[in-house]
Amino acid sequence: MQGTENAIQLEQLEKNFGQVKAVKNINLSVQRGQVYGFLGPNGAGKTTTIRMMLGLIYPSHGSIRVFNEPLSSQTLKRIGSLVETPSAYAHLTGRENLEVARVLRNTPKHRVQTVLEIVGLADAANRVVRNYSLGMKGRLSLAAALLHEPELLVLDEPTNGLDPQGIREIRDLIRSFPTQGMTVLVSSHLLAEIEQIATHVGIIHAGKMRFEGSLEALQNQHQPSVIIGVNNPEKAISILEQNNIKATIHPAGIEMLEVSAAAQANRALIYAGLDVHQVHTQNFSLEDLFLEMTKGA
Amino acid sequence: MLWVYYAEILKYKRTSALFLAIGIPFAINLLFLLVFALSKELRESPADQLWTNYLSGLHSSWLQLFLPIGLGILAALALGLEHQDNQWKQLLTLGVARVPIFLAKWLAVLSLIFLGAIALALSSLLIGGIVTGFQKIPWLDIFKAPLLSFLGSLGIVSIQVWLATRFKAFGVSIGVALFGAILGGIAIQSATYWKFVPWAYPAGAFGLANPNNTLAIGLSLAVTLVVVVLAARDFQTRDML
Ligand SMILES: Nc1ncnc2c1ncn2[C@@H]1O[C@H](COP(=O)(O)OP(=O)(O)O)[C@@H](O)[C@H]1O
Ligand SMILES: [Mg+2]
Repeated sequence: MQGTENAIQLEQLEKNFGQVKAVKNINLSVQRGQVYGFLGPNGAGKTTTIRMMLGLIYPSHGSIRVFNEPLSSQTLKRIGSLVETPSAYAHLTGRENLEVARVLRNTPKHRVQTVLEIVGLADAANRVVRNYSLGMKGRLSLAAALLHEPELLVLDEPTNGLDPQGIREIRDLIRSFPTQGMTVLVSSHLLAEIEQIATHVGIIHAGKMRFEGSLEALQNQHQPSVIIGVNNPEKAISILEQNNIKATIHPAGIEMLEVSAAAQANRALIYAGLDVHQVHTQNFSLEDLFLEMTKGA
Repeated sequence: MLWVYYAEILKYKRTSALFLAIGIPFAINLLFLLVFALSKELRESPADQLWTNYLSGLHSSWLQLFLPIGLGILAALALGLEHQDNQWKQLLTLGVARVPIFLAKWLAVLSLIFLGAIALALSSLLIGGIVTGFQKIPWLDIFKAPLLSFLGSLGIVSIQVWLATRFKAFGVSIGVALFGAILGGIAIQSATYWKFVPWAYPAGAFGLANPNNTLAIGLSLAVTLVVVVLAARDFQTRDML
């Protein structure tokens, strides 16, 4: 099955900058055809990991495989990438910048015009990049990443610094890639952004992977629970135990995972003479989960 | 490799690289035209001395000042193209190995210096010709000095290119170039110590002062080989942040 072919495989990847451990023992795998959201707050280690994936910096430990091969300039030929802030030769026009990349990529001449049109820069192509807005520069970098019709696209915070209109355009572009047979890894510090485009997510925090899987699996990590505000939590837990309901101490009283048993629990507690002042179901949004996973150091 | 070099050359459009490489040699000639115009003694030297007087001042200023500093500036400029905006992160992810990228850079700077040497020869033919009334043109001398000094400069070009890959600041390149030029100027006075100062090789290659010019060219090529190998290795194995 094509869907299970490895696009990226990181094993026990580590990177130290002197004393700073930027990436600590990361395992990550992206399958062909996925849009993989690489999610983590600023300073989590996303860019460091991506720089290693692209051979810009070398791992302190661990291995990187792309399409089941060790990373090399040969594997880089199959990847298009955009790392951190977009960059270009400021004194060249958009078209001239792409021409430099095109020659190095050894791709046909007509691709330059094609990618200019894809990112909507055809009209500005003959202007010097020094006069581009940040959004235009971002699109130019994206165009360069698409020049050789890569099988894998690695985008590091491609919407950073863009206005809402620009963010939307990039998002729509990224959404269209898998249908063209591309695998995408896109990083962000914003869950909301990843949620809209990714099929799979990896969450990194303080250099460590906290979660990897489908968005669904992430959602299922935390079932909704019931919080019961009660005057004697320890006693409440033992009463519920007698009723075969598992509960744990919670700042607001007790917490139980079996949502369907809420009414039964409430009845049992009142019958035992406890004061129940609130019963409510707590739903975790992906946002809550993300915040939970990326709390502390 | 050839297309990597071609892509490298494309980047110099609208930069001052070509203007500097070709413009500086012309400017030095104009300077010496002025010197001649102002100096009665020079103007009135015997006809067969005119060319020699003109070229010797021109060539020693080229060898000891404009060439070593100019190539430092050009190396800084060539690498500055990638440092600005941290363009490395794009350049090095395009599927071309790092060593050819480095060699293309080195070759581009060499090409500019070579153009500079040619420009020096042509402009001294033209402006020297005006000074001397195009009499008894010393063809060999006109072309020999720029070309020999080009060969003698390969070692310091390589050093400056390496340095410029390592240091973003223009000041480092210019500082080393200046210091090297001064050191080279002093070393070339000594029959022994010039061998240890690559900045003395361009003048040595031309046969200025006492050194033996084939040795200077040989040393320049040896330094080039060693430095290019070390620099390419360094470029290949280091983190590009
Ligand atoms: N060149 C460097 N030298 C020292 N520390 C670094 C360097 N690059 C990144 N770091 C540190 O590594 C950590 C991860 O950074 P980064 O990968 O840029 O995070 P992210 O892209 O997720 O915001 C941060 O603590 C950062 O300060
Ligand atoms: Mg980052």
